[in-house]
Amino acid sequence: MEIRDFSYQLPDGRQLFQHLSAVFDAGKINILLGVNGVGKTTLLDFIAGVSERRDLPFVGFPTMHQVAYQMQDAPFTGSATVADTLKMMVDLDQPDERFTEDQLPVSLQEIAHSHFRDLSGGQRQLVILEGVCQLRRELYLFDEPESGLDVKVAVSVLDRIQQLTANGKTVIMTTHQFRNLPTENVKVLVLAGKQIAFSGTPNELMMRTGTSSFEEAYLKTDA
Amino acid sequence: MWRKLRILSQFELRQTWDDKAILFYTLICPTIYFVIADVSSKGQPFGARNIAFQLLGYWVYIILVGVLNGFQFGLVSMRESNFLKMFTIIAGDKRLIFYSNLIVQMVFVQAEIILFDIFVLVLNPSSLFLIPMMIGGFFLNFLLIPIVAGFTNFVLLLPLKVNLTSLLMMGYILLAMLIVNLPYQSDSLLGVVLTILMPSSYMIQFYSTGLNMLGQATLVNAGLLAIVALFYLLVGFYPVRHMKLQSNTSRY
Repeated sequence: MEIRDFSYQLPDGRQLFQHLSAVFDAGKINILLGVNGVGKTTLLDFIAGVSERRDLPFVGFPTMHQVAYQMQDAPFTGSATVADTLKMMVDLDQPDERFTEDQLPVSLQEIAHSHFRDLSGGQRQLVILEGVCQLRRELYLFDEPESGLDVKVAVSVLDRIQQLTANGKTVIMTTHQFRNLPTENVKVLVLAGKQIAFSGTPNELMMRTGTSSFEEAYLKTDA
Repeated sequence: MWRKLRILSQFELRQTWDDKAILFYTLICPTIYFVIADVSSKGQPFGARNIAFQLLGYWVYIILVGVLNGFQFGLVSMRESNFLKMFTIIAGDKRLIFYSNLIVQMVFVQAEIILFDIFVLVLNPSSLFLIPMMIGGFFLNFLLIPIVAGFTNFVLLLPLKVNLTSLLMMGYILLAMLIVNLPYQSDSLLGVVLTILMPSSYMIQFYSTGLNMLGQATLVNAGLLAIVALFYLLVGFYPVRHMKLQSNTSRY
């Protein structure tokens, strides 16, 4: 999956990407890093197809039907219950299966009949993450998946994301949290200066910057 | 496609039913108005003449508010809260979201009109002779609601914020209902222009011709209504393919 020489201007005229090129590795977790406002979510929107990418230099990405996308702030209808939401998502995606509440993870069973509007931000995030992971798609996009989650739950979410790649799926995720990030089967892409400033493994990033931690290496790259 | 549409419609029907406040504009308001009219006219809420035409006015109001407030405004609100983006990714196609919303709105509007008609018959037993017209109207509404959606789909392309969209729709509904009450002849130039441009005028003509009220069903009338319907069903549904998934009010 590749983006070739992509330039994009925001509606207000600001140039967000200038000749941006990037390669995302299939079957891996591709971690997209960058400061706030650099365009990570905009890039995910194009990759997902919610921003029209016909005639744009996005090569090898699946169509929207084969993309699962967890967005920031878990936008969903407040009147839906957790069980209704997940049932709808699974029923739409998998014609051969019927979703039952028993399939809910333990962490969600207690709130199965709670309305979305009555959940905390972290619980909403967890429901959407669970739904997205249940979808059977080729490409999974996660936009700051651990945001708003406590450390324990965040670790389980990252485990779940790793399981996807273990099953041969491709993941592209953004994050601002370095703690607990996987380093195996991972590619890092640093978005800075309207382009991809670095692309490689976490170890390569650390070697290039002469640092011993992933976070420190990123901070040096961004600077 | 049909399976997905059924699942989405069932899901949205439950969510729409959960928010019963929508019944205030489309069912409770016209019902209150009807009761006041009934009391103030000493049991002749429709007056002594044009009883059937006055019932049409209530139907036109319920459909217009249902389509604009419940359907179009609902889609704009979904877009502005980023729910449309999320929902489209889950469904795989934004047209599914549009059509499932339209189906749900059709169910609600039809149910509201039936309840209103029953209320009219209970409160005003002299309206019993309107039952065949009510049944006919029920079937015509299955055609009429998608056509009215076609009339008003342009809203989906406007780069407007939620508040402004709400104001625009309220003004549009007010204008449409005022125009319905103007004393123009349906076969005059003004009548033809309004039938082409205003959904409320179109609906009155559609019912009049479809139910053959006062023998208005001529080939010319039916032809005009069919051409306008075809136009709005083709051109009016163009915005569905091209409506933005992203919010107009925030970057994401």
